[in-house]
Amino acid sequence: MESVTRSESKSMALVSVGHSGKAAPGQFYMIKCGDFPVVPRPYSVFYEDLAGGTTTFLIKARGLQTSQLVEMKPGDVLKIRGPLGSPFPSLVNAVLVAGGCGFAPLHFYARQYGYSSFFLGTETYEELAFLCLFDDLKETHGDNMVTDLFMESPVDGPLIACGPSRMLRTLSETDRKDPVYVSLESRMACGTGMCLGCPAKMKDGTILLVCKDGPVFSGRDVDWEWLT
Amino acid sequence: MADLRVREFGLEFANPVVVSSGPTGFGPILAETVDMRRIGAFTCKTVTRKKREGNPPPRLVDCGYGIIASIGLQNPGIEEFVRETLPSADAFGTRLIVSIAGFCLEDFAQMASLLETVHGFDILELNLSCPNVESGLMNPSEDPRCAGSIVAEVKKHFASRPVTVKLSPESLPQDTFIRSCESSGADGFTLFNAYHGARFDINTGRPFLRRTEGAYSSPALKPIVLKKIRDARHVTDRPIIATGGASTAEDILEFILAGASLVGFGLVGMIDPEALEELPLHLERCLEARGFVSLDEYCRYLRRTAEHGR
Repeated sequence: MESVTRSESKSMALVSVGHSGKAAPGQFYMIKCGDFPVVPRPYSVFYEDLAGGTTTFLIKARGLQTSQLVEMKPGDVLKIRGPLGSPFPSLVNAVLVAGGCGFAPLHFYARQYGYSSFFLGTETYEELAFLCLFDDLKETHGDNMVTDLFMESPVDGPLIACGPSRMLRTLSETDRKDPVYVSLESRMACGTGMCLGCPAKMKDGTILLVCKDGPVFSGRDVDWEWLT
Repeated sequence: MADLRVREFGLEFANPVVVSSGPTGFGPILAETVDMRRIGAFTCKTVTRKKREGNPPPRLVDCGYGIIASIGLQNPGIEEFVRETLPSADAFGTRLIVSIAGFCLEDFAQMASLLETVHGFDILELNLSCPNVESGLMNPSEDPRCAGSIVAEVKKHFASRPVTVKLSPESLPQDTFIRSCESSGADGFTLFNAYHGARFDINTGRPFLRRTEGAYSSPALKPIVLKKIRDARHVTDRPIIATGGASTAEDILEFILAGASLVGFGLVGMIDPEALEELPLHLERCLEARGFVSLDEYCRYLRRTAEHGR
């Protein structure tokens, strides 16, 4: 690991590794640190610096592995596999909506392709302060939902969203003429489509896999009733 | 290099490493990373008579020392499997085990009859123990006579290749199940399927998995499974594919000492496919470091030592 930047109470961290795999915004890596936990977890790319040869991930300390990751020190070794999954399409004047760690792939997208509006909702003010990396970010935190903020001042243009499934469902079911792309969160084990652990059912009845066929889907195709 | 060849089920295996049914699916994605010829045998994900979409998510929950999976036998059904999947698996260049599960005797009879006419695989596995589906008309994991009747039915329709029976570690008494299947014609056993497990979210009060429970895979199960393999070996002299808890080359030797003929790996292939491919290489080094030229020589030596030590 190259470097780590932590939020004030270490609830969040940006962890950079000395590896660049030509990831595109929306793609993810399977990451494992040490022998415990046994199973790796997926993390979307927050940013890839091709010239500097580093890839950065946004980590929120929630479970066994994330708690270790935010405490890691430069020089510690991580096992990473990727980039995996399908990227976001490159769109003109995209509207970005992120919830919590869903900010990671949208940050990468914004830096790579730009945007017309960028909405962010976080659980705490500390997280918001840590992630407030764009001057024109429309932000909210705590009980104030980012979906409500978006509905108050809806913006035209194709929508790209990443965050909790309920947030993605609300945005996908909003009456809009423009396309809605969502990056689904799912627990994974293999990350490549072998174990069938991360299914997403489409409205036509097809069972797709978040790791292999996604994580980016058209929000209007997803059978949200089955998923949530 | 040490000779790892094993002869079981009347077949020669390049080494005792068997990829277990489930975690690595039907194989083509694994084959993109792993040279399958270096694996002793690959077991396809269990297939049912009709297509199944599997359980709704969440299907996985992490447990630190392992994972609980509740996939629910998602598969394309036997006919599509035979038509679309099996031909590509045939090209792996390793021994291939096809795994089937059913909800009534007729399911097993139909699938066995179809598979009898199909080439491209070496052993048929009867999964009598999937923890992730609702019971059908019968429950072979609770009733040894039911398990035996399925084996007998399959053997009526499928005689060209060996049949191995995959039992649940929770099917007790274990010796009764093994004897019932063996007297019904089982050529060998895959011991075991996963233990049931569950986890609950202390913040929401709800189970993490949509179906609450699932199949728990973990290296921490190794000593429990080793003990059960030793018990099983006292009951049957048929081949045993020991599955559950093995993750290293040293584990292969330990399971063989307990009575295994071949050793299954599930979790390893799912989380670290490269490690799976390296297992035979590490096993060779293990044997060479102990001065043995073959796995067979190691096994014979240890059996002699154990007999003299009694």
